[in-house]
Amino acid sequence: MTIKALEGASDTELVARSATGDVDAFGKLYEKHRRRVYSLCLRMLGNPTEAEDMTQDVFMQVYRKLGSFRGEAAFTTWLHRLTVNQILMHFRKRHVRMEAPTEDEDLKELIEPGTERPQAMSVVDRVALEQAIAQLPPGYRAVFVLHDIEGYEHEEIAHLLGCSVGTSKSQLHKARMKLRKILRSEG
Amino acid sequence: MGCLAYQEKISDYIDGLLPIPERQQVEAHLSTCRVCHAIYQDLVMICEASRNLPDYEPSEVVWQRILAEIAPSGAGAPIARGPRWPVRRFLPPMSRSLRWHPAWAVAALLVIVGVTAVFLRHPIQLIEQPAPSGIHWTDGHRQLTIRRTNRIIVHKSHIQVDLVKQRIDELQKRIEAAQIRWSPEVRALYERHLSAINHCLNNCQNQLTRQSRDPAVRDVYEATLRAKLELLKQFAEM
Repeated sequence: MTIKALEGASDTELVARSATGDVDAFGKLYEKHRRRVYSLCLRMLGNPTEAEDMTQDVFMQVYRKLGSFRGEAAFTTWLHRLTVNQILMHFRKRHVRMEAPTEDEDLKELIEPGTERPQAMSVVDRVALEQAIAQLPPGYRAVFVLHDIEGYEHEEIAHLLGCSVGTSKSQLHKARMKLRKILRSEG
Repeated sequence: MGCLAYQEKISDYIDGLLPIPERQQVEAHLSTCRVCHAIYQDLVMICEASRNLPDYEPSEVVWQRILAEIAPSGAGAPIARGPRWPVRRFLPPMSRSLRWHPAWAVAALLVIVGVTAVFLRHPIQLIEQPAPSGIHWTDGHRQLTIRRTNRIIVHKSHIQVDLVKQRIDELQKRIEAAQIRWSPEVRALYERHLSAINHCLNNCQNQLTRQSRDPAVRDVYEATLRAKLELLKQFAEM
């Protein structure tokens, strides 16, 4: 198959060809999915250099494991899960703290009545939001990115992170409250 | 139940995870408490904005590194993670100012693609004198001229690739030592240009692996090597 013929090829076709060592087909797969993988890495890690290294690791893993991809799930789902697992493994290797902060830290995000003006924010700027997400502690950030950006359910997040569903919900709420605090202080 | 207890339920309320009685309690509280209602509105906005965040593009270097590891005959030795130009390590997380300048990358790519396209379209011509205007590249082996008409004229048939590569290695070592003194802007500019040229070189090498006798591809490869040499010369003098 020529490079031109690969233009309209499905993921399944590209995977099959890549598994036989067709570098052009793998290049096409990379081209189709690189943004999604890189963006997830960037948001989870909060650092462009680490995100690029992680993107490279993910696609190297994909290349090595293509032979074991049986197609039960869509390639995108498989790739996404592989990316999340690679990132979480990276966190574990670096001993990044993923557990919930202490109760004292939790309370900082809650608003005592009368301590804040009751106006809601007028608008959420996209760039400011990205920067605020990068400032979240890794545990909060992981749950927030997986749930609010990537659309994972709490059960899946709890399974991936090895925590309870309650912890996942609680981390998500605190992440949102912290984002709100950052955005309001910068607004 | 006080405000703090209601605030803890706001996220579950937004996500529709509360049982009906609790949901009604939260709704009743939100209708009377301006502070909690403002928090609720803010969190809804954050959730909505998060769902519409765009995807970002990794730099070309990532694919080159992957390709270097997976290509059977390889575009050279495995590169793994290096050489890495350290510009981004100095940037704050998610910084937009220097992280990605599409204009630089596009400009560099356009130059390479333009050179390649023109080179392939027009037959190589031998001329006696350099053109009076335009850009001239020379290192004693071959002279390459880009006239304002965008025609590329090659003065000698082949450069000594090994010598050029050797010179490139020397210059890269010099630059590696010198770039610690560069500003982040210069480093970013250098990285983008080099990345575009390396991408083109990589493509040529892959083509040559398959069609080693194709003179057009070899000429583009040599022209790109020369472009890389010129780039390195300019940055080595900084």
